[in-house]
Amino acid sequence: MIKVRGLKKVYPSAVALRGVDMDIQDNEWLSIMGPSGSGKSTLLNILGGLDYPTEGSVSYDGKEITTMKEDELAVFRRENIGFIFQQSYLIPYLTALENVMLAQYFHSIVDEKEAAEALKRVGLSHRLHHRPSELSGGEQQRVCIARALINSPKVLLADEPTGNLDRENTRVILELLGELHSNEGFTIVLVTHDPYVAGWGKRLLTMEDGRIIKDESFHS
Amino acid sequence: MSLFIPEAFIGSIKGTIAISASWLVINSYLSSKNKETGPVHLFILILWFMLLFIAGTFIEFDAFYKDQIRRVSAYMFGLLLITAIFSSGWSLKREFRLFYIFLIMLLYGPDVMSLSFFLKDLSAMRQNFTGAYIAGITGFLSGLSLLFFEKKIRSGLSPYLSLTGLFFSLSAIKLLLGGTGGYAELSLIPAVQRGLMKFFHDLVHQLFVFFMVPDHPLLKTTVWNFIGLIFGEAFTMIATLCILVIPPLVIVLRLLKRPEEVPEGLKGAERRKYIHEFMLLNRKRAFPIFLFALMVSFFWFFKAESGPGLYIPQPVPVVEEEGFVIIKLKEPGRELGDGNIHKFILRKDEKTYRFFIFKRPDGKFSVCLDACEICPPEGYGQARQHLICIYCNTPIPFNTVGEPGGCNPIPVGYIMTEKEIKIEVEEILKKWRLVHSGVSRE
Ligand SMILES: Nc1ncnc2c1ncn2[C@@H]1O[C@H](COP(=O)(O)OP(=O)(O)OP(=O)(O)O)[C@@H](O)[C@H]1O
Ligand SMILES: [Mg+2]
Repeated sequence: MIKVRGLKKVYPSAVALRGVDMDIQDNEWLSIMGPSGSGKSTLLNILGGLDYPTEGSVSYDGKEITTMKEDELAVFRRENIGFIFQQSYLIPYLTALENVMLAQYFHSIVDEKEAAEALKRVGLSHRLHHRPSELSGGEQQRVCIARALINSPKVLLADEPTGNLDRENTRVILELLGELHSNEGFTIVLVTHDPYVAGWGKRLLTMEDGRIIKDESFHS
Repeated sequence: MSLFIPEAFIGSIKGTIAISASWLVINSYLSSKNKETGPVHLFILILWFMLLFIAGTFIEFDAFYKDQIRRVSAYMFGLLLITAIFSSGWSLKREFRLFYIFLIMLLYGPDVMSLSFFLKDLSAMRQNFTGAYIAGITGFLSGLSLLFFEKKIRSGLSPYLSLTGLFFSLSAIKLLLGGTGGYAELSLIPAVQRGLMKFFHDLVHQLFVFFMVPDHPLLKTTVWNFIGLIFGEAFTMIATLCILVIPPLVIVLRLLKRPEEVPEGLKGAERRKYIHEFMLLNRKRAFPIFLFALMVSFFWFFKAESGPGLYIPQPVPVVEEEGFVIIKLKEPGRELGDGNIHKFILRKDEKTYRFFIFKRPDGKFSVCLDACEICPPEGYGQARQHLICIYCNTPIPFNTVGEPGGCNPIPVGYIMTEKEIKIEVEEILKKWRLVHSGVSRE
């Protein structure tokens, strides 16, 4: 379980978070919506240990991450968290397979068979040796998903993962995420502007001006 | 009279650092197994070495036994090295702390006794008892001060030590610091090398005798020149390197491999992580072993560079006076008792006879032919601790020079007066008949 308490992030020019409290259960699929500049990305980054808060705490199963040092945090991220962003951030001169293997390498050791297997699960077995520039936006994002999940993270953090995709590709990605989520049982925290995308989650937080103003759960 | 003799200090601090360092690596190893040794063990250890030291100081040992004790130290090293090589891959099921304490006791016991002989000799030689012992005790205390860093060193070191790594580390320490007998390049490498030379030499001789190879002129020169290669300097040097370096390198290579099996149920990222951590640990454990191989290679090159370093003086011609050769103990530019070998050459009836005079560390003068009963008479050179037969490279400890047999130089009777040494010419001629008269490599 992830516990967030009294989280504040203050920039010299702006206040991004003004006190966020929330609990995220294991295996939950949580969507976060809110207007531009409301602090969604800031929250996600702090949640994923990419950034430090000005104040407040974030703990994973009781383990506080906001007080960890850079190198401890790096180890923590690599073993527990997967990220997907709006831009793919794939290495342009490496193939899809090599991009996934690079994530393996930073985690431990590479295993080509396993990496190919992961790309097959996201429907890219025919694109293993293509560079990012030779892939469509939807395919690139699927490589990112394979890469984010290759080290079996407990939590997948996604910031506008479908922001650059059309409706059809968005659906494909979300179906894929849904399938992996129910098979592998990781937690998803997904930030989006799109109510259709947010609707795939079981719970929706709405943010405004650095605060959570609504917390709804959907039962289906 | 100085109150401080540096040699005593150096001898003593070297030995004590070696013991302290061994204690530290052993404790680092044990602490990774949650089996640390305590102050009681340290106390036992120090007490043991004190006892040995006192025994060495107050009991008069025969030169022969002193030499044997020094030799045991070298055997200990060999034993340790062999244990290190063969311990690869297994770990002691039940670690007795006392086993390791006992190991240190055994490993450095002879060295501590040698140190006590050394200090005793030194203080006698310099006629300065206080200076030698004050320096010795200062060295002892300085060496012990290493133990203050125990906590720090221990946690840093423990991931690097497997059982084999421990033994190799101990070997490295002993190699670097062991014994008063000198540093590595003077003990281990030449010792192994001489062993090899002698082995090949004897083997070839035996084969020749066995197959009754005829004493043909062709054999005398060409063949012997070829065969000589395998117990010559170059070949045995390389063989020495192989013997010392290949086993640890094989162990290192084995450690760098992936685990042979991964626990069942580990899949994907967890499996990779297990393999990765296994390899990281083994890489760390390979490190001290690799370091040992590196160190030995370094010494080897150092040694190969510096050559055998034998002192071989030119024989000084002497003449017969009424049936005797008379040599003054002191002459301008020469002092027979200075601890160096002094070679002489006598011409009689168209033949030459070489002999030398040598004052041993124990004070006794020896007069010997510059030849032994086994080898062609190429004579002897002087190394730091031994005379070396130039032909077969057999080392003769200083204090056994003058004893007959084997490859020892053939002793010659003499008469000693206050000012000179008198040797009967007839005695020289008679003893020379014992000299090996077989094939020479020349
Ligand atoms: N590095 C920064 N330095 C200064 N201000 C920042 C920084 N990052 C974010 N901010 C400010 O913090 C506030 C929250 O930004 P954040 O990126 O979290 O918003 P968001 O909800 O993700 O918006 P969007 O939907 O446009 O991505 C904004 O006002 C932004 O200008
Ligand atoms: Mg954003």
